[in-house]
Amino acid sequence: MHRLRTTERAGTKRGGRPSAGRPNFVWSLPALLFFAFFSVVPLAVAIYLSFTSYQGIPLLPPEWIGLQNWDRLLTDEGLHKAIYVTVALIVLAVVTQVPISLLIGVWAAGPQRNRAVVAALYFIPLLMSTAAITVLFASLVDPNFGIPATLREIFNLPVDNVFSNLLGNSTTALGVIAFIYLWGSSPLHTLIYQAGARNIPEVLYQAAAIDGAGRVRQFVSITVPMLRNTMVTSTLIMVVGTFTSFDIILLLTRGGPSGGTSNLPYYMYDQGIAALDFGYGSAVATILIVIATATSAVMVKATGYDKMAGTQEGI
Amino acid sequence: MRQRPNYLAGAFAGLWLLIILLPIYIMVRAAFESRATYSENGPLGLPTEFTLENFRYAFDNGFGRYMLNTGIVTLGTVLIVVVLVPPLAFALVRGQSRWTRVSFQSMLFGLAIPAQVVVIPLNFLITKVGLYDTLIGVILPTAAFTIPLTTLVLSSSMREIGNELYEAMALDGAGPVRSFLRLVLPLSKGGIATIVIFAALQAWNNYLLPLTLTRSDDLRVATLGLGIFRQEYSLNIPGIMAAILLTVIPILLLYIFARRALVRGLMGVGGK
Amino acid sequence: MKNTRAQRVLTLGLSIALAGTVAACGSSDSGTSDEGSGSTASGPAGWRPNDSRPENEIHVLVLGDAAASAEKAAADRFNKTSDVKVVIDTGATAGAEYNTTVRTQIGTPNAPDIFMSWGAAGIAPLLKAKALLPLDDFIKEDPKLKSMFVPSVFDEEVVDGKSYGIPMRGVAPEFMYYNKKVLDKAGLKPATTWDELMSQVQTLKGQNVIPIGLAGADKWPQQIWFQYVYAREIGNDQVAKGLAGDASVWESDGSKKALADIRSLIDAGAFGQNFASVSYGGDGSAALLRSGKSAYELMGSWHYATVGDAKDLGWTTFPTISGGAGQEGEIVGNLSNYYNVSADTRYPDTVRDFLKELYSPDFQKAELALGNLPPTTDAAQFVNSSKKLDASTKDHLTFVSGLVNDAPTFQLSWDQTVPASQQVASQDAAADFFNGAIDADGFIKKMVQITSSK
Repeated sequence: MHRLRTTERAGTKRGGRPSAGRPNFVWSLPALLFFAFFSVVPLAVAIYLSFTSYQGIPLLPPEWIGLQNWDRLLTDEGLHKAIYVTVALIVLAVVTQVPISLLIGVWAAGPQRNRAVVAALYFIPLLMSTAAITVLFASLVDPNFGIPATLREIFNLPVDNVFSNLLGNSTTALGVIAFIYLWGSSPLHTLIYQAGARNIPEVLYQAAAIDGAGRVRQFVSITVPMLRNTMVTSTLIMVVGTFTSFDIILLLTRGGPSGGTSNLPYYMYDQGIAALDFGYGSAVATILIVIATATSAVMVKATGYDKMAGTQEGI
Repeated sequence: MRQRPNYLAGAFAGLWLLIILLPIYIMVRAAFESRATYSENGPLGLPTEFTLENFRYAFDNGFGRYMLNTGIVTLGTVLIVVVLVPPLAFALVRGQSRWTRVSFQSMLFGLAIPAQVVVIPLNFLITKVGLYDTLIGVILPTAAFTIPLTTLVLSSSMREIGNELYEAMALDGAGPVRSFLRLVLPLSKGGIATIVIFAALQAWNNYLLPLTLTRSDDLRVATLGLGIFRQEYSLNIPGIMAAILLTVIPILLLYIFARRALVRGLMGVGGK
Repeated sequence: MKNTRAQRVLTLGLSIALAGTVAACGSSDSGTSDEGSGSTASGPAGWRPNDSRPENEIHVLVLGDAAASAEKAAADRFNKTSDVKVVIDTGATAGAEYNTTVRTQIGTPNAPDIFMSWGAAGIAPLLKAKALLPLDDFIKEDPKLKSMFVPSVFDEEVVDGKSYGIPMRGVAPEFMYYNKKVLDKAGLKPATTWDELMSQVQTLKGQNVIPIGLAGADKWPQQIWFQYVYAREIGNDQVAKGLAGDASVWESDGSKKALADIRSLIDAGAFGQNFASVSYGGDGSAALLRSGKSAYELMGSWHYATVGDAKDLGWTTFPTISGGAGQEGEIVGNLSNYYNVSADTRYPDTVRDFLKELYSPDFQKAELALGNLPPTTDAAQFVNSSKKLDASTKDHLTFVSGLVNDAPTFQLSWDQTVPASQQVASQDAAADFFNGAIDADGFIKKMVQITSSK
């Protein structure tokens, strides 16, 4: 940011660049106000509710209780567990989705006709709603009628094997959820990488090939660095998406076993909406938003993504 | 200067294709099976039966109406996004006021707001403005929640427009309006196609907002219609698969139609 | 410099937040004052009509599952002769979402005039908000609104001597279902005592079937086991005291004995090893029973419809436990659903007349066709005289009816009895005990905590 500002100032001082044709702030107002009205205002109300006791009944207006909900947050073991689960799911999402989307996306970017057809097939899961995907997978992981049962028959496994109780312990249940994320959202990221890879000038590869660089070498020293910004955007969407995801957990495990898959959004739903304690739920929601925003801010800073906010003249 | 085929990568891509397609296969097969056949065959069986009964069941339960409502919500959301987002993205990319940076930050911030956090206040708000139990009341917040992501995507894509083009416009004495209409919009077609798809997907998948903001059967959207099949105590899996399939078809058509534009639009997402 | 910018963003955010809060408060205030205005109108006690509700319509919000068809048909019949029309709105299909809808709307012009609840605990916050119309004046005008319903069911929503709910839909006690073929093949008869059940577990394991199917992913099915074993060991009256907050019940020897019973059943492998991955909603446990992969399942009477294929399906009472303090025939489950009325409805007379539909022969027959046993005193006679029902369905409904009528006590499911805010916690406690995350002492501690919260 700092650097950006200086360059900009320098730019204006130089005075060489016409500032005519540049949109002023008014251009962004309609969308910003619209967005603020429907999300920031309700969000502010949610923050207000976190200082109240409120059962969600408008006839019983929220009662101001100061920091009580926040005190409770500090010692709430469930919340600590939920933060752990949230982080675990994000790490799982990133370590599985980034490599797979990158490799498949770069592969699909090749000019071959058959790759284009296959790439179109990869996109299919994105057409399904999360609820639909989860319902589909819930029937697939059923120990007695789903894929675990079929595997048991094919490989003649003992009744109790590693697949037989996938949702019964938190490690495998988290694995299943991460897999569903992978299946459902990596197609989008694959597509983003595919598009990004097509943008890399062919001439770079030609030059590298003349220098005798092999395929792996080309991938590491040309493809990956050239896709840096693509990677940042994709990962940001991925992290924030995983942070706020909730449908899968509601429909698949309801946070179980014993809270082992209850991430922050689900915990908020569980404590706030399901248990009809909107005050406490709002406090959890506030924590969620603070962490999510901080994470994306750190990512943005660390990667220099925010420089994209300005114009290209710094480049 | 092509290299020899990359067999390893091909095998990996094939394996991944299998992983993607297997659940799809199970869904499609089950949608055309009776409930009894499905529970006998299990998920991995081969197709043995072909019935349209599940689809008839879906339509008998008003699914046609629900799909139409979803169509209206999707169209409305897309229209709002297409009208509001390009000027914002233009301002973010070309604007120089520090407010544009604040806008950009707030968009990043907006990305992280999950809809379920604001459902209660939103319900309140929509009721107060008299839009409870109307499709407009669903469209407005749905579109609002789509704005951050679509803005980021579109502004990345607009950044690809070369500075020299703007300068050329400016030298001709063009103001921001003319630059926007004559330069930015025509060159952002791909990006706009992308945000159309993003917004459409968001609207199409929406569950929580229509659930809390409407009550009439006439206004139910397709995702809520899926709820009919998920009865409280029993579940007709082939019926649900058929319903899921129905919800996929229109967006599949949109995708086939707009895929080229979409991929072109996504090329800008990462910037260079 | 970074800090100042962050501060500015924060200030902006806060000022917007403040504006939002003020807006929300302002509107909520005006909302409540509107409704108080009509309190002088003549009509049933507690009536506060809200004139901004839709004109010449009453809205009935029902759970959007298959059973809603009976309510739609009832509205169609009713509307033929009524000037004020009944509009049926089908809401969410899950109870938690349904309740959220009701709560967030109650008191607004969008609130339904009539809506469903599951028992006294669920309506407690609405009573506190004075949002419900006491129905005693209706009952005075039409005594059948009370007398036509089974008293133990009707009394659930009588609070402080006032009636707030009219029973609707079916009574749903819980009991043992079994697969006849599987028991035959193992040479067994349905277990009538706990010891028999324990010994059958070993036999059935030898036959390579899961002795007792359990949809553990959903958590509430585990709770049914606690409900019954506690009913047998200490009796429903004690259980009711415990659920009302008497910690000594949970800490008693009978309670510990009940937990030891359940633990020994789990440890014997009665539920298999993977019950935590089996769901109810995804046709998991029902399919186990239907296909003969499990022998028994403890479930509510709706299970008959869920299993779908009654060919091999049998049902029986929960086994007795020797030495237990419970009376014979005590049962647990879901009593019924109830229709409640908003205190600010515009057309109380229409509401009253529509409630009469709930004991009409047409409505009862429609419920029976759905497999629900209406909570009315004359339901059994409709079962017998029905020509539409097949023999097996009649047998099942007759069994359910007998079970309910002969029961000295009928304890509502624990998760419906504890305060609504503790519903999830009570299910979690049951599930955690089953998967070993907490032991008997842990369970007792949790139940004391859950039942003592207000």
